Amino acid sequence: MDVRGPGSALIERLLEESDRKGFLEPAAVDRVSRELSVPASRGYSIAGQLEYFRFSPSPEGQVKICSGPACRLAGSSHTVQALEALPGAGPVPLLGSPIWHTPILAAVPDRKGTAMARSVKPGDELATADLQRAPLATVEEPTRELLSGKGELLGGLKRRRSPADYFRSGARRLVMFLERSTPGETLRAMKASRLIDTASGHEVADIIEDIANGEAPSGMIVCDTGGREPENDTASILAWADPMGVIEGMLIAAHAAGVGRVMLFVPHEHRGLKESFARSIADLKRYGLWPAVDVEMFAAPNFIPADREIGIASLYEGLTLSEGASRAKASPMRLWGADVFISDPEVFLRISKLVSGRGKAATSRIISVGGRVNRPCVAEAALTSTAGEVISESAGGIPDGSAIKAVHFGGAYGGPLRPVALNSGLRSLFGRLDSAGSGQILLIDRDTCMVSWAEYFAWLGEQLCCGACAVGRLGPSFVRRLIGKITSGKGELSDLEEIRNTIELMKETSLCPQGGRILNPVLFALENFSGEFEEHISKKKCQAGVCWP
Amino acid sequence: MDIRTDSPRALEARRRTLELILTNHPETCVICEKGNACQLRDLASGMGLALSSEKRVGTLRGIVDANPFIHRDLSKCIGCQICVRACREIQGAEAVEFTGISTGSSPLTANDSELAGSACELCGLCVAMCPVGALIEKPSKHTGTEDRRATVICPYCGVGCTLELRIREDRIVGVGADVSGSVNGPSLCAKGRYGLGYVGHPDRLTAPLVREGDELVETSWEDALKRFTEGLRRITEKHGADAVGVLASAKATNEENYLIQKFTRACIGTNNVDHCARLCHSPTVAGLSAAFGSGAMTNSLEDLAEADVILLTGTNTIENHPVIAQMIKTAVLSGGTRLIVSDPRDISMARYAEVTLSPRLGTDVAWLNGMANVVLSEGLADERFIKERTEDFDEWRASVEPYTPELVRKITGIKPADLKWAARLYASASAAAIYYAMGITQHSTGTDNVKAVANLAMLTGNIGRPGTGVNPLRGQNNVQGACDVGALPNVFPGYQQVTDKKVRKEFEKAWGVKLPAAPGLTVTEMIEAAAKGKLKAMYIIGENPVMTEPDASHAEAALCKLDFLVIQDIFLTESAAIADIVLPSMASVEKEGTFTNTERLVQRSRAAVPAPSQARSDADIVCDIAGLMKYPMNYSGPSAVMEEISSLTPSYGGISYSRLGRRGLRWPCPDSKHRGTKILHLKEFTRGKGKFHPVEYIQPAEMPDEEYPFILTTGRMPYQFHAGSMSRRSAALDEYTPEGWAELNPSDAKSLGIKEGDPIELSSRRGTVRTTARLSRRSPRGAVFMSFHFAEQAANKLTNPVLDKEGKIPEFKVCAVRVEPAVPE
Ligand code: SF4
Ligand code: SF4
Ligand code: SF4
Ligand code: SF4
Repeated sequence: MDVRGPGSALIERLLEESDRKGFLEPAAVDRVSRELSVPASRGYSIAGQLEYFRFSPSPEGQVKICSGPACRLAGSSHTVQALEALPGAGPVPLLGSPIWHTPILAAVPDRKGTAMARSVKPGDELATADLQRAPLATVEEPTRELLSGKGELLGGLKRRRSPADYFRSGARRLVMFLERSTPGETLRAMKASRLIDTASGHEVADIIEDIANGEAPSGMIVCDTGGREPENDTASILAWADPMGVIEGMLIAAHAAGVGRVMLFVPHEHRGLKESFARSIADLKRYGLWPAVDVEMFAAPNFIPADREIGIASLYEGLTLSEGASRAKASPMRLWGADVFISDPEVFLRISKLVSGRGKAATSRIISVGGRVNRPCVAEAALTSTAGEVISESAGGIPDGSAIKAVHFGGAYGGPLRPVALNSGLRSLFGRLDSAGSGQILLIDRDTCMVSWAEYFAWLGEQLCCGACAVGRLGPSFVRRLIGKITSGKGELSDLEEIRNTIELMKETSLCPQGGRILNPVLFALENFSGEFEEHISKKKCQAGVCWP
Repeated sequence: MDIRTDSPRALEARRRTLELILTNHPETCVICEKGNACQLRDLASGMGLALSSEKRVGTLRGIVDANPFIHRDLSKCIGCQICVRACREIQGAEAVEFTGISTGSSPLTANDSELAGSACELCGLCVAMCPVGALIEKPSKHTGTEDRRATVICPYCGVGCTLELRIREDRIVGVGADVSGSVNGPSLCAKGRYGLGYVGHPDRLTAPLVREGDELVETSWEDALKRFTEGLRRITEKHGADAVGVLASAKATNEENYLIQKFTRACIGTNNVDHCARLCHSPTVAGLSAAFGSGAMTNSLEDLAEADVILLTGTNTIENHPVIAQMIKTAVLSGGTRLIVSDPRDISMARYAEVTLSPRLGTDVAWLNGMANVVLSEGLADERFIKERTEDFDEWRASVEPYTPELVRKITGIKPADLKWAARLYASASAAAIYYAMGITQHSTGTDNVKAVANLAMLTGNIGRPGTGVNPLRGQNNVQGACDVGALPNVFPGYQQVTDKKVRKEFEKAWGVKLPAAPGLTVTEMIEAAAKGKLKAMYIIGENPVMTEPDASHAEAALCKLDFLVIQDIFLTESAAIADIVLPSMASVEKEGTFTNTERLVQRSRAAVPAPSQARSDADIVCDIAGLMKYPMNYSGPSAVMEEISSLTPSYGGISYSRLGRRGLRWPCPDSKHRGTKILHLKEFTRGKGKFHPVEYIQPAEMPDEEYPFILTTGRMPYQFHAGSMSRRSAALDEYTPEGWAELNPSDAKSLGIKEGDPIELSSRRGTVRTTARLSRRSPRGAVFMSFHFAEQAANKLTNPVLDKEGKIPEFKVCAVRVEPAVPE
């Protein structure tokens, strides 16, 4: 059964039109909207909220730069400058789309897809040819070196488990498991595992139980294989590495919740992932595996400027992001007239472990490591290990001579801590975030100015808020303006208070969870590096020499 | 639950949010047109926030200002999205959506195009609701704040919206809605909101004019009325009362129309009184009276949204009855109502429809019979209703048997599958309503079309319940009322036949004179009689036959042949220009009275502004002439006239000014205890049993041939009205559509070598008109659409005056024309 609504069809058709021409023509927006009986203003609005869509032809040989924190640390801003200095170059668009989490910066579209080239150092010169030569990786496939660790999820994944592999070995076990366990038993096994949903911070079993007992006539299990960070890290890697494992986890969750629909959200940019899931779903049908549940895939641009759950749901429903944001959010979410559980591949892969009876409490977490380390990687680490241990064991330690001044954890929803945090256990480190922080750890050295770092996150916050509520619409940009005052030497001490108050206000009054956490990094920076801020204001001094020499 | 909205924390959050909003707001308060009405400014000053601060840095955006109604400066937008929601949830247009992100997000149309030309209907609702100066009504710019407000009924279409006029120094400076109890709630259309400019227009007639040779010269009222009575006397004495014809006005109040017909019958002594209803809904009156016993809308707008299915046919509702369209669109968008649209043109309403039928022009009986055929063959008829409440079913049933979907396809071009789908949808709904307008009536088979509609409704039992019915949409604001109070040649007020002796006796008693027994002439017959020299004089009030009659050149020639022509109007119209006497009258907003809208709702309208100079109300003028002609008609005011109306009109029996209040009353309202009737034919039809009428498809009188290969169909455009005398003198409306055009299908245009904007010439057997070509797929191949608002390109010089047998309506909707490129001037 095709369960797709007009909404998902809308995005799909817009993508089709846009990919055919390289941009979205007004006539195409009108045509698609009319075809699907939605107002043209809506088709345009949805496309207009997603950075993926352009409304005029883009020049040949366009270069996109990742705007995520890891790439920023690795010098994306310098690359932008170098590129813009090239003869005939126009402004370089920043791209918050799926790129493997590593300091790989420039993405050059070529025939095979999008290739990446290495970043440049401050002041380096760059020729277009450099970018096209010898890409390190493509968006289709991560480099082998990126995967590191021996844990439960990543341990066996040095080699990718293809759907064919799965149907050779794992499929039977799943069927037997589902046949033998009633939904209640499955739920109990889930409870025993005490698995935490990384997105909401709640126990997975509690959410599933709510769906099972809920009043909504139907429910849905959704896996977001994109990721919460702009540069998308662990989620896509895990999904790429074991697509059937993810689906298996979703089928089990659906069984426990008593729902008949599961949906994989896949970033449209990620061709490899899309193909891989398409194959998996086709195989699932071919082998007639667990027909009680409909499995579908929904592809949309990955960089969604809103809370992700709300964003995915809105796009699927054909709503604008702002419209989605203004709907009440509860856990589980009530969407499409159904109770919905949205989580990421890590959680579903863990659920899939129930099949082999290993339903024990999760003891590890998938971490991505970047910044001043010898080998950026995606690793699986025991929750009892410290951040320092992860860095020395999986990421090859810190380059000689680097002086680490901050540890940024939790990605765009986390923030920078003092280096002592390296001695904290992962559980307590990530426990400091209310929810939704990614498993990212970035090491920051003395070359980075923490005020500029905060300014960058305020900018990122602007890119990540739909604008439906006043505080989300205006807060990040006001905070960026205030920090900008400081980095340009015009700051006053009262600005710090104003920044804090604004972020506080956002936390209290934003319409969706995004507004409440999107400026966490600024708050953490103010808390832990207040000295640096004050120095900028009172002494006009920037230790890192970034704001002025 | 303990909810506090005024805790210190809540207040502080509010203050800070406001401060944050101000950081992104341009510092233009001093010169902002929103002025005192700005809610942001109001809140800010209320919280002690400075209106000027170094923190204020607006995100500046260019002002796109290409239409005459709405000024949009999104730099001032605070992103509240009220406009988006208003447009979606109230207007149902979904023209704007919140687009972009962060500080760049704003309410935009598709592809960020200008409002005009997008899906925006320029209704102005968003403007009325925007809390700040981001959206401003252009026509009210620089007019200042009003010093008082007054409510009136919109002078344009038959929806009967209540307008709240903002008045400063006796001039209208703005128009709003949202008067409690009104038909329209917060909604209006562009005409109602921006179309009152004509009231204070310098062209207004301010003194009586009389003809001196070739010229019309100003004179006193005394002189004008003297000449009027002398003229009338001269004619009646020489040729008899029946040599005089009077045209009442669908723009005048009920009271005035009553007085006009009373004057015609009792004072002049003829039944030759008619008005423009002849040209829009006379087949409705004929057809529905025959089928149900009453010619009015069976249901009310209040229960529109209760329909599970609405069948719209022959109505370009979004453009012509915008506020009813708004009700239909929101009913559809809210998911409660499914829509079937049947129209030869691809009208905007089609976007909301589940099924769209595009019959060829003039083939309505065929597809309506075809729907009935499907309903019968699929066993979807409401047997019980048919048995208990109708008659002549079997005979009728046999008549629709030949109209199989296959035959219907041959005649109409509608695919059998679509016809079946529509029939099933309509017949299986628990409540299905039909709404129609001039696309059904303005045919030589208009009455048959209406009967076919009535048959379909009775067949499925969709009469006499909420959300059902047969609902004709009336064109002018008081066309329903003018009919109700007897401005028709064959009936007295309340549709009581002049031929009925008993009725006549009653009126003779009330009016104190002997009344003529023979029905009078209709509008079109009067023109014909004038052309033949049989009709010698005409007194025309608020109508402009030179523009609105079919074969308009012929109509003009006929009027020129009259011995005596008096025109009473607010402007020197094309018809007034050839009159012997021209009397200046008041615009509807200048006088007190009642209007009856399309759903039989009688509403009061107030005198809001003084009339210019010597202009007088139609009522006063008519009463004065009657007095001079020794038939005194003296009333203390409109309410006294209404008392007389209710005493003689059973359906208005319970209507009086004291009872009308804000909400009005729907007739039938037989006595002073009765609360009005929302739904007609509840338990039984007005005529007892509903009567099925067999009707056969007959093709339009004039079909395309080699010489005239295209079909011309006429209609209205949304921003002009009728003959244009009001709308063309309302600056904003006229600026927006200053001239007419003919709409051609692009492939037809291509084969004729015509491009967008080319000058073209349309010719029919009756005349030639020069206009500009607009290419659009909205017109099907082989058809040309033209509006009739523009004197320079009078579409009615082309139309066919052939009449519907019963309704006597001309076939405005179909005539054969030739289209040729014209040599540029
Ligand atoms: S916090 Fe507000 S602006 Fe930000 S994403 Fe949510 S709804 Fe949109
Ligand atoms: S109503 Fe006015 S302020 Fe609110 S979003 Fe619309 S234009 Fe902006
Ligand atoms: S004027 Fe009316 S139709 Fe146009 S955007 Fe505003 S509310 Fe929508
Ligand atoms: S819909 Fe009709 S009555 Fe209402 S504002 Fe428009 S023209 Fe006037």
